[in-house]
Amino acid sequence: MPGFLFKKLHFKKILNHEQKKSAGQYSSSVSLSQNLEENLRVLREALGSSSDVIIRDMKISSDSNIDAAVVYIDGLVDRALLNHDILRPLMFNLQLIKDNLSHNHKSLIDYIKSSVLTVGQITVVQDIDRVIARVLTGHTAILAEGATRALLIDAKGWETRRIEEPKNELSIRGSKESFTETLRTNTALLRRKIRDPRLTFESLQIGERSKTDVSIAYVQGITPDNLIEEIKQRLQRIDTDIILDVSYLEQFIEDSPSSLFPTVGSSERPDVVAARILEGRAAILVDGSPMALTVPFLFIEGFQNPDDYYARPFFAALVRWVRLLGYLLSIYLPGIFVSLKTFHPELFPTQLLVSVAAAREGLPLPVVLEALLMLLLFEILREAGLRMPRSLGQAVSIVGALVIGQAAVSAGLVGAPMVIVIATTAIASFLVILFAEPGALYRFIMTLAGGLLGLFGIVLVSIEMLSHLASLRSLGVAYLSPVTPLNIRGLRDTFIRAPLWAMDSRPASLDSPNTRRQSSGQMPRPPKTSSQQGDTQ
Amino acid sequence: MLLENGKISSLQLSLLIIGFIFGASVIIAPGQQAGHDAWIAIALGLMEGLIIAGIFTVLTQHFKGKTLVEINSLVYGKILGNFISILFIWYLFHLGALVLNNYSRFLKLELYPATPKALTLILIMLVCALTVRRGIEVLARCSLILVTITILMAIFDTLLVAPHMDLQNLLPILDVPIGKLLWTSHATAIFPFGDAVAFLMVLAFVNKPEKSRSAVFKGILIAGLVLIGVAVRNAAVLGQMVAIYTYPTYITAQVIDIGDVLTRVEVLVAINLITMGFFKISVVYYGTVLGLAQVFNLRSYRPIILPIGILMVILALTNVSNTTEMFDFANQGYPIYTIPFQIAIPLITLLVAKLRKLPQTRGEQA
Repeated sequence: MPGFLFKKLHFKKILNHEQKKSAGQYSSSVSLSQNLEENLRVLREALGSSSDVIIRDMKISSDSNIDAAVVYIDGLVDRALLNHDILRPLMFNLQLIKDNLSHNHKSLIDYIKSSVLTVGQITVVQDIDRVIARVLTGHTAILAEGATRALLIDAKGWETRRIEEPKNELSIRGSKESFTETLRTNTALLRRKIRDPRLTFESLQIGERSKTDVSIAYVQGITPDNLIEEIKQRLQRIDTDIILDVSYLEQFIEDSPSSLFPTVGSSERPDVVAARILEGRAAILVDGSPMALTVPFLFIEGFQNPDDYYARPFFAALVRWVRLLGYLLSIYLPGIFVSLKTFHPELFPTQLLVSVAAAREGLPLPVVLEALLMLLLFEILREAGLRMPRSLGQAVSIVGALVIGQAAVSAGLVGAPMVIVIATTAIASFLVILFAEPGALYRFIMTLAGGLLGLFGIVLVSIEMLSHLASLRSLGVAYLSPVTPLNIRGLRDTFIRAPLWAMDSRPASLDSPNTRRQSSGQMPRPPKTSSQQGDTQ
Repeated sequence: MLLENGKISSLQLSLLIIGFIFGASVIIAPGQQAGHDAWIAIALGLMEGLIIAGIFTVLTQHFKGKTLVEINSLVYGKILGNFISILFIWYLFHLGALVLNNYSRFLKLELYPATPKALTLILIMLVCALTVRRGIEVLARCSLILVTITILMAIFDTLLVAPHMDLQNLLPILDVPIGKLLWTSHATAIFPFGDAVAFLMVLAFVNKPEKSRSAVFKGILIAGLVLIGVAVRNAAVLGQMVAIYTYPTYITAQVIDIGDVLTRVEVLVAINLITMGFFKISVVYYGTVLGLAQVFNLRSYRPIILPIGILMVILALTNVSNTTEMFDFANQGYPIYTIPFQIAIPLITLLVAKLRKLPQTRGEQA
């Protein structure tokens, strides 16, 4: 208890400190002066002599000759919008300006905002710091002589990638759209899936230099409030200069940074993220990253796939078992093979033992080293295939197949059974992409343990792995739930996938305040009366 | 100041107890002295074991949310209470060493004749230490998966060995002299069932204390029934030989031969032994370090995990010199040696608490 309190206090102190720091920054900020030259000088100093910063001088009214300037960053602004809806009205609607106000500069800005510009989002600011910050995010600033306020116009527009098909999380029947690098597009994709007014995107900026826009997406009343608080606290604690990708955030907010297993989920599919949000999770979107984080993340999610929900439940359950077994196979198979060969040959059926022993006749390496070598080769091939320029891909696969498969066996370097084992393992390791990294590491550990201590070693490592997994938490939710701690109702979406009409409550382990998802008893059945009639006839 | 802030559910407690009881008893077949009547001995022992469990669960019902160490210092006062607590902790510590010894002996004899015992011991200990470090909650979570797997594998084994079973082997019933049978059943009551008294250090962390008692009973009962089943199976497969083999369960699995494909699966039984041993060692290990931390008012039990583990390994390596001695102790010495710890301490503490009308807060005596 005291430790807990101390942590709280300590955390508060840090927060206070940070607030003071940021408050200090703002208090030193300069508000805009009446003098346009002065304002522009400050802007030039702050933005430097960068060539992409455009400061366009102009006169808004030829009669009164009011000096004004438009400040924006080339490339971040929609040029057509700028020319047609900002510059043109400012320069040609002179008459209106002249007619309506003579030289009332205070309301000049208001007038421009309300009657001249034909763009959607305009804000009025007084701080020059805010002007700088907003201009850097792509806003266009309008400053006028004699006005102590500036207009910030949202005329952002830059080259973006179109919404494309998901590259990594493929689905047969599901939607074919995936997130892009633009935060607004991503939030719009989610909004189109969940048209609930309580779907909320809370924005904040992270990164001392990058000022990356981050959005926390959740549905009020479904995502637990304390979860959102916790996420916000963790995000606000981040003090770094750049957030390049959503995985930067992941590494800052995850519960167990020293674990091999991820405790924060991520997806590139809007449908997956929407489904998870409606299960009571929260999503974190980052500008510039085509992935969304979802928390809390449970171990079983790694084995779930959007197609599970689009396919029929029985097949979905089968596929899930295949994935589970495949994953276990990808971790254990080399280790078990090595340990059987080294310590427990009696477990092989006699025929198999004979052929395995014959294949290993005259091989130079002990079976452990052979397995480790082949695993290493596979990792090299995999990594090379991943990073290599696409045009070279064919070369690697041919060389890999020849070297690892054919040549190694016929040269008598490795046994044919080992090649089969490693190949099976390699294919199985692609079944559960999310856990492929911990899987690869554990595969090496298991192989080593199996080679040194046989099944005993493998069992010990497995117990340790299980105990580690059981100790993990993802934002307060036990990683292995709903399996252990056991939650019977939660099991409907683990080893089996219950029909959608049967999953009438949200996963209980997520602790959503609104557990009811749909009304129960929606199993489709033929209308009673008509079927009876059919029978009698 | 909380040494442990995890909470376990009553289901997890039951499973933990099942794992704990399987712990060593799959290696040293309980009731083996009674030969093919082992199942009778286990059944009688199960009843006595339930009585023992009844005593210590009454104690924890009286002092909800308190471990034995805390109860002792409440009932006997600080000094005497801590003295008794240390006696009990010694029992846990020694029990851990005995189980470890059994394991390393089994591994040496059956699986890894060339591997030094110290190595296997240290590795088991390391895995247990890491789990104990993570707290009782994690251990309880592991129990669900591992105990389920073990029970499934036991059923699987039994099905596979079914063709070799001959229920005639169980006859004549009550073949052993009644005195020997009673002694054996007492030995079975003490080990494995009575050892559940170690849960006096764990029961405090059950999230619904009023359910902990029935959870303990359920756990012991299920474990007992499975053990009876295993004893019947072993006797039916092995016949009179069941009394002779050192590790009858292991030998029974050796008999399995399904179409020349599934043969010699006894290693799978060995895997079960290792996993279940993990629970027994971890629970007593946990009890030892938690108890010591409470006796000496430590702020956390984590720093003493490693030293205690090392001591336990050393005791395990030195306390028993050969297999015969181990079985002698398990069958002759242990049933008497443990009576003070399993029966006397809980019972006397309960009586003293009643006499002193403890705990005084509210009407919890009922």
